[in-house]
Amino acid sequence: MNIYKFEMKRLLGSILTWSITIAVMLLFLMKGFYPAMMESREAVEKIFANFPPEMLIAFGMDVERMFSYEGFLSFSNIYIGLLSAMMAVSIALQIFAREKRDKCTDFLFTRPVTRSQVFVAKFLAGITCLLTFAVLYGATVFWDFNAQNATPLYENSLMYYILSPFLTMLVFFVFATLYALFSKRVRTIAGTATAFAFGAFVLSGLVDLLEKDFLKYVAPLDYFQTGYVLEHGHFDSSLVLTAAVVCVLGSAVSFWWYHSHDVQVA
Amino acid sequence: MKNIVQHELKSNWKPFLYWTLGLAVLVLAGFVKFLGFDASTGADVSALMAQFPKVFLAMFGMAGLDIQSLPGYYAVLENFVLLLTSVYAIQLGANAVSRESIDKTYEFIFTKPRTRNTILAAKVLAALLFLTVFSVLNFAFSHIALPIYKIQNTISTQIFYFSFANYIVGVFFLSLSVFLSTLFARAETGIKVGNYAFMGFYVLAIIYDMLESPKLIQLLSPMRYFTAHDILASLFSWTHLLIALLVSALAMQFAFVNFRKKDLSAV
Repeated sequence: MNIYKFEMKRLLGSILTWSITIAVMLLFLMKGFYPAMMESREAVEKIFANFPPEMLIAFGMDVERMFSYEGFLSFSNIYIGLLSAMMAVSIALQIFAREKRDKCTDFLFTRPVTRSQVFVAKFLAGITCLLTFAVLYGATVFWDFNAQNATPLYENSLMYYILSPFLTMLVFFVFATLYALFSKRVRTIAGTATAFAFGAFVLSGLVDLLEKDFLKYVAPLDYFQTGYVLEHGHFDSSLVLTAAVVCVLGSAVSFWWYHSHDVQVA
Repeated sequence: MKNIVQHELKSNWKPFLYWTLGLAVLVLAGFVKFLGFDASTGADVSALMAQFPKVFLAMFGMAGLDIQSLPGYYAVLENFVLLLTSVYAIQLGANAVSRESIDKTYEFIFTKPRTRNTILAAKVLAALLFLTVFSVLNFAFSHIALPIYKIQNTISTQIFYFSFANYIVGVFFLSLSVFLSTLFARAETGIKVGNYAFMGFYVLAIIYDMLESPKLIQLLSPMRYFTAHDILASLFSWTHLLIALLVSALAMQFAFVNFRKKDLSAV
């Protein structure tokens, strides 16, 4: 419990800064750009009327969807998802590379608690951080959704948009935990987090470009892609399954490593 | 001095490799979409794009560009390369200043019979070298990509200008990052503020694209010193080049002064 409390105290500032940054980013997009987007609806509709319908379907261009609140939210999620991934990596590194960076692993591991207890306390602290974000983000989206008098496209579909960044975070949290445990040293947290996010972004872009269906499993930034929700009203279940496997397996490996691996003591 | 540069090159080539890999993927694979879009659709896409709100286009660096033409498409691609270059430059700059503190080896290197200035200069030089090679590779990959997709290379001038422009913006971010890193006691803070600066400049660039290219904002927005609009017209803004280099030199000057007086400590 002490470890949990200590981590939470250390992370409080970080969670708040990140959550507020992401929420402000969302509001900036929804308040500033969504109305501007809506203004061009009629003009786009006119052009679409001249397009052959088959082509519109092939390109997934549907006015109804494109100009819905969720359509714009889905578009915003490209940025929100990127920032969420960065936040998750940053939090996981702060938690799991803390002793490595400060060279005080021996201090922590000579306390009268088992390594399993330390791991669980740290892991739960991380999950609490992500949940805090999820609640703040969900409230922001929900509030704005109501304030703009938008209507959902599918039943409960707004829920998926609220959950998407949080679930993406879980995946990246696990990845970064593995990285923190396996790497020899973590130089800077901000630097590693940016590198992670950019790497994932380029990977997603590449998968998108190559247009091979089986490649979608290697792009973690898109495991909970909202573009799919926009079309089908729910997440891509094969990707959800992949994410679940990655999370469970990754956590298990981290736990085992943390539990049984020899530590470097400076 | 030569030893330090050599040592720096040796110990930083790995991240360089990863960033180059990202660049290669971006540029070489980036043209795939151009083919798809060129063959299957008519001129209508441009008309459609023109109707979209500017901000939507600005966010993807597409404002005022005809992405169905090769130069227009390439400009969008290079806008992404610009982001990649900027982030890499920030990491290079912060690394040059803070690495020894982070690794807790600062006592080792700063007790060598070389001044702090010499050591920092060597490190910055190594960082600039990496950035230079990175930019040259951007130029090279662009030239390699076109024949791969059997696209007629009609944009040699633009490729050169874009690569050079991205390099200059990279130099600006590198200098800024060196300056910021000498400013803060904690290495972590330096790179964090560097990242914020990047985000701020990115938003500023979007705002610039959105509002019909106001001159005053352009002056504050290094990411838009060399606009796609200019480069596509085979124009290169030498005034902005001069300003960018001047600001970079100034930032470096302050950085070296700060660094001389900095209280070095672990992290």
